[in-house]
Amino acid sequence: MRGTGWKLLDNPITRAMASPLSVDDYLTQFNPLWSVAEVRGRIERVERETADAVTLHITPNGHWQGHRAGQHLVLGVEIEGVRHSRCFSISSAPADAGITVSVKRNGQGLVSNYLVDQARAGEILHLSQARGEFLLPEGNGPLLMISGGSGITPLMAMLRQCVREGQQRDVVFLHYSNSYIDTLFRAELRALAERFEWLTLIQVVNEGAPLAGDRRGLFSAEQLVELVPDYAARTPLLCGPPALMERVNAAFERAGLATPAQEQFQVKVSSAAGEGVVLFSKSGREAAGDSAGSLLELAEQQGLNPESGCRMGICHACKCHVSEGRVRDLRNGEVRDVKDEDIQLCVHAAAGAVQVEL
Amino acid sequence: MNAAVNAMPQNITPKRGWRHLSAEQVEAFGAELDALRKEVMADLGERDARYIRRILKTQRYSEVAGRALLFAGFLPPAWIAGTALLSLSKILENMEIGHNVMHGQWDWLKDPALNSMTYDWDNTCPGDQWKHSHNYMHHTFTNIVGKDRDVGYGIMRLSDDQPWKPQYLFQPAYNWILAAFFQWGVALHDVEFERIGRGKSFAEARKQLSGIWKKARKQVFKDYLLFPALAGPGFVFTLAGNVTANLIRNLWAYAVIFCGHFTEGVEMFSEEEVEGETRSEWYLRQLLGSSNLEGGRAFHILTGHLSHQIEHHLFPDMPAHRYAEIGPRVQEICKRYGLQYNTGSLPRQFGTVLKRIHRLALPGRRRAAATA
Repeated sequence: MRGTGWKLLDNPITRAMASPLSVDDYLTQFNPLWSVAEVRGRIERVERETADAVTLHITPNGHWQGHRAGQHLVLGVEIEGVRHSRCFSISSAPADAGITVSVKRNGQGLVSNYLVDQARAGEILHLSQARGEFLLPEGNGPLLMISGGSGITPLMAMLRQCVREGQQRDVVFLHYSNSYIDTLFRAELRALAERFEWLTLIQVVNEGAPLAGDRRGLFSAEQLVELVPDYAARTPLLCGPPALMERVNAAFERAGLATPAQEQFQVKVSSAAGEGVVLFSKSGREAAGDSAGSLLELAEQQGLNPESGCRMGICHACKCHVSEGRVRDLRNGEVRDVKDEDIQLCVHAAAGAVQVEL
Repeated sequence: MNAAVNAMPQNITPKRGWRHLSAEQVEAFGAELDALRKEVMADLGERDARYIRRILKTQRYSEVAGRALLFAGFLPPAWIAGTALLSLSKILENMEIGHNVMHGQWDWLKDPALNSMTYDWDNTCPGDQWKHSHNYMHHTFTNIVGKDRDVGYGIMRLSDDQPWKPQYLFQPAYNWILAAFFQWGVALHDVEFERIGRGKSFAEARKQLSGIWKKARKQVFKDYLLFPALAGPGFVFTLAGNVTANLIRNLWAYAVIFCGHFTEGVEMFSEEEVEGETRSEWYLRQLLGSSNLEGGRAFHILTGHLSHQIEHHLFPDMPAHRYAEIGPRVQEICKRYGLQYNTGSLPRQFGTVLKRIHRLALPGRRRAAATA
């Protein structure tokens, strides 16, 4: 059923019948994909990409409004009964049937590791609508896509869109990874590069011998000039780990160019612990700010369960009212005083006494 | 209404049930309970999630089936089965789901449908008022005469320490009215009529009453108008089924809840006694102020595991189905410290509650029960 069909089920009569519960509280019991408003999806297939990455093929329910290449979604999954949500870029092109999300194992990352190791066909996921402003530029101008590691996913969606729509757009796809075998979509990228004149694929690997045209090592301004001499004439797009993004941005700035359009998929947050004393005013709990990084982690340590999502400052699910206090923005280290303000707990730490309404 | 809850108790023997314990023993007892709590909370996981989701499914299916059967309520078997299923669903929803979810027992699942901040139960009492009168007032000040309004609910004398008043002569009778309309008693509980004009402003009470009406009218509309109307010519049968289901749920909830704190041997406390109370002493008060019911697994589920009132009062935010598992261990700890662990069958425990209601309807006090 389309989204509108479900909305017909959500009217004053059905709501009164379900009251004080919601219509969804009943629908969900009959089929976990049924909802009058929520986007949910079923994993149809789990495709292994590399030793430590998978692509989930997901069929969303009728509430899914589609996406534009480069956008991400918040994906909620149950792990040992507990729902965890994180942001993932969508790797499929908008015209594809269903959506795909490609996930790479990520150190201690609970959700990524679960999806790579244990996600199975048939599993139900809680999804948000697609969001994000990191999009394929309009028009037909030449592009330079720079990606690192699993930062390749939004750019892959853009590339796939170019292919599906038959755009003969001049694209240089410059990807940084540990090794060839580690590279997401390696086979597809090579096949596309062989088939289409307009696509130039260059890989820079950290390990192993580079193939012809490829390089070994890390990003540098000199390397960029050498590999893509006309880079300044291209519209740059960037997604990768923080270290790569910093270097690329610095290179563009030094060359007097605007930094690329970009999407962070990992937030480089300062590891400094908080300071001061945090009071969680609703529960009456108190904790030393230095016993955790972010206010979110601190609240969780205290046994509180605030809503949370991406844990990197993107989805705003963990926004919470702070009545008063001094906080540090973990993304840039800035310390500021807040009063009666909603802040994202996941990217803020205490920098003095803080009173959080939790 | 009366001022029993504001009246000062005249004569309470302090710390009766744990007089024999030294301060060190009291702390050691508390530490054992803390350790037990920590152990269970660290172990929560998929098994618990599966349990509550199964309960949810059972409740929703029985409600849908019950209401559907009542549409054929002109057939006696359909009416009986429909009413029974709807009663079951209302009991499960109020006791094992609503009460426990609103205690925050399932917040850790991070499932918006089981979140204590947003869940509201199928009861005429609004969730936010319930969380104040129950989670905060009753669970913090359990059995403190003059502070815990669950001791008599402002209308009954259930402790020797409440001064007698002539109106209590009628409590054996109006006790049954409270039982039949229990959800309405619960709904009006937090308004604290006896404090209006004294500690509480009319404006505040009016605000609460409007909240109650906003909540209650939805149930009244749904159960007594909408579903009967949808049944068309079967209006009366559906209405009768819904009234009966609410009544059965009321009687059941009343019986279970009255057996939690008003059975024989349960202790009451004074405000002075608990001044400067430590966490371990709080545990002791919860233990000695509560009593359990014995029964099978289905019985425990239908009581929302309030049959494990003792465990619930020790660990109000622990998923309730764990109470049955840790009960024997709590009992064993109590035995080692020579503490009473009050438990018995529903008929036996309820019998002692009725005895208390009748005895305390009359003036006078008796120490025997309290020092047992």
